[in-house]
Amino acid sequence: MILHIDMDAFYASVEERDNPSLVGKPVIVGGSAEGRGVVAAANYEARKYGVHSAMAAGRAKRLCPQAIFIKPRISYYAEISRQIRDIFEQYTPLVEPLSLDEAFLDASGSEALFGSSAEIGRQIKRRIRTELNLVASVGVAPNKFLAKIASDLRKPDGFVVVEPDQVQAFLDPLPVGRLWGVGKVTGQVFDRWSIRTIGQLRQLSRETLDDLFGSSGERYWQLAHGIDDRRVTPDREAKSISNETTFAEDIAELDILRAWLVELVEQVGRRLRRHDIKGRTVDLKVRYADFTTITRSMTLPEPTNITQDLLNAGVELLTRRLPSRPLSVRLLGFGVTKLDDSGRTQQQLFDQPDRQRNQELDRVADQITAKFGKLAIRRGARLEKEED
Amino acid sequence: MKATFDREKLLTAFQLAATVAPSRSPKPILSNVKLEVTADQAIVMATDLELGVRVVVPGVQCEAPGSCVLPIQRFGSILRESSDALIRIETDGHGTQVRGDRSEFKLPAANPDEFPAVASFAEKSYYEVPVKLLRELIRRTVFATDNESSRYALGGVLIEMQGSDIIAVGTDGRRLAKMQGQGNSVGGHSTGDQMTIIPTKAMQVIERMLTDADETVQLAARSNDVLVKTPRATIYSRLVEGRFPRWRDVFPKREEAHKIDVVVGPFYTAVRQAQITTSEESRGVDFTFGDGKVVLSARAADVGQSRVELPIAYDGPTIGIMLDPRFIADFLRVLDADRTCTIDLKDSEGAAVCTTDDGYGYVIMPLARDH
Repeated sequence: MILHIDMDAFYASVEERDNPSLVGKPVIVGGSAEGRGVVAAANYEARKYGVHSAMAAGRAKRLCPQAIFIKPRISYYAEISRQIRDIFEQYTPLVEPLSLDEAFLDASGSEALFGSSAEIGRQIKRRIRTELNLVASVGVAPNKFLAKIASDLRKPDGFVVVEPDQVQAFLDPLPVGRLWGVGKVTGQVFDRWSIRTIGQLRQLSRETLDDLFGSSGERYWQLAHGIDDRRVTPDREAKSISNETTFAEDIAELDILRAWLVELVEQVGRRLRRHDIKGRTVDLKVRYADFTTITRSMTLPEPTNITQDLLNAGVELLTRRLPSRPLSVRLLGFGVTKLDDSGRTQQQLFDQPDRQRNQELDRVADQITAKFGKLAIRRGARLEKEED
Repeated sequence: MKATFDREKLLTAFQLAATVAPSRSPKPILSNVKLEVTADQAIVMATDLELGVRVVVPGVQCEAPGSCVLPIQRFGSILRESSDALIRIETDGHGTQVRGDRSEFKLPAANPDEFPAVASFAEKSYYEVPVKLLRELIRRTVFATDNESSRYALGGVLIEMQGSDIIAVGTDGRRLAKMQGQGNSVGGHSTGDQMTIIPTKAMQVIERMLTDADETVQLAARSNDVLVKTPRATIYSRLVEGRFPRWRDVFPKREEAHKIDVVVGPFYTAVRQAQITTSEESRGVDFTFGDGKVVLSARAADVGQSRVELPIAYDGPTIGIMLDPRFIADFLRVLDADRTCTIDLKDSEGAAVCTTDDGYGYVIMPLARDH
């Protein structure tokens, strides 16, 4: 069984905990009372007024004029996140953090020591409350996909267990919007076919789904049947860190691919830095419209987790090392292998200031991303590819 | 052309030249050497157009001057497989005949005039360096170059000739080797402001062309190329284009640093020992100097750990630094084992500066802890 543990209104809860006078009042972390900036987190009181994260502070202020705005303290939240992870790691080494306030755990190997996975989930939830005075929602289910839905289902302070023989009963009544990857476009397709629940989606054959959604059809079919065999991999133990994306429509323009690459590289860079690891070999994966898949790799002189270094290598592979054939790309992937967790960096004789500047840039960008979400800060090249 | 050669001398010269020929080339004639015989000497030539050599063949009796083009693979085999003392080579318009005591080969003849010209040394202004010094200038710097660098032109050794000083510098951006010595400028030759970066491969070929004799070598740096004349050969090479970083800034000017003297041989052994428990992913070796000893320790996951201790003449404050052992080994390898070198350290973040008393300086940047 897999556990998904998700802190409830994490930043806001931390602020309430440290300043009990805030309890019961609408609290917004991020942005300013003058209405500048973006909401990083809102407590449940503020959410009642329709305030949510990534909303412009001005709008939040209009929706909830009495809200108390608090400046985020990201390094402090990161410290608490580490304390939470310490609790996780007392139960299992298989912890895959998704962000500061959310992680997957695979505790199957620890059941003999601590009791069933559900029991472990309950213990962790209790300890987070008693030791850290914070509230987590916990989902326990046979796989990641179900565990994530489960933790979200009764938020806040939720605790939902999905036993293997209840999977279908659990999924069927849920709206299709609960499935990963269902955005506006896919939602419209579901609407057109009057598919509202996962149960209705499950009635469709795999072939029909392929017709409707192309390459994503297979995934929807699996999810509707509660199938998801991704493992919980702690990044620390991973042999590689990678990220890929399948496009809704094949992409033929190099500039657009490059913009997507930036996004993939930034995510990989963030994950490397979060775990203080560096990679030495960079891989680019390209799947063409005819499903031919090509990978190209390049070994750097030194291991790095600087986004700019990774990006330079990725762009080199994308623009110079691919075979000369017309571009029509359905999937782009970027990964890093030869991981180095020594916590050491070979210093350079020349351009050390440039490197430090890039490092600093990453550090600030990571903080902003942690604070305001992925859309808050982006490299210039990415702006062309404005989606959503 | 008609001439008789000492087979072994011809083979030596041929092999020296053949290393320059490209293994694959769009111009097939380049996978040949050209043999040119005049009344008083013979020369083997090879080139890949970037780099060319003319190697003198001693021990030739010329009956008719002329030249021919010989395929490297087959002609090399003929020379190697033979045990004859003398080899006679004769060409006419149809082919080349190679004849030993009881063997005879006929090779098709390409037109020697189609072989690209390989520049000879006719410079009036040049720089004169003892063979011994030039060998050290090359050996002590060429290993530090980096053909992959895109930002700077590091794929060669920078040569500066100014007055009586000749300086060679090689770097890959993580360590830098500099060797300095005294030569003699003829005709006011100097590199001035021009960047003379001789490609790594050319430097290796030049080194191979050096004799052990107590002679001098002539270097002429021009704007795009360099010509080098050794007692047995002339080497022509195009220069690496691009910018060499400001290498002088790399040598720190330190008021307060710890100078540690070590004997090369034992230190090199200790480095090699500590290096055993490093891996590609975990390369660092910790060097801790102090208390009359240096302790080297290394640890790599899945590989193990090591601790090696070596007594040294240093009693200053304890100072530690983590270095890539390959970089320090590269430095020690090119020095005589009984020589003493000085390591100059400031702290664990600053460069380690290694020097000898004969003009060699080597800067290594450490592996610093991430903040």
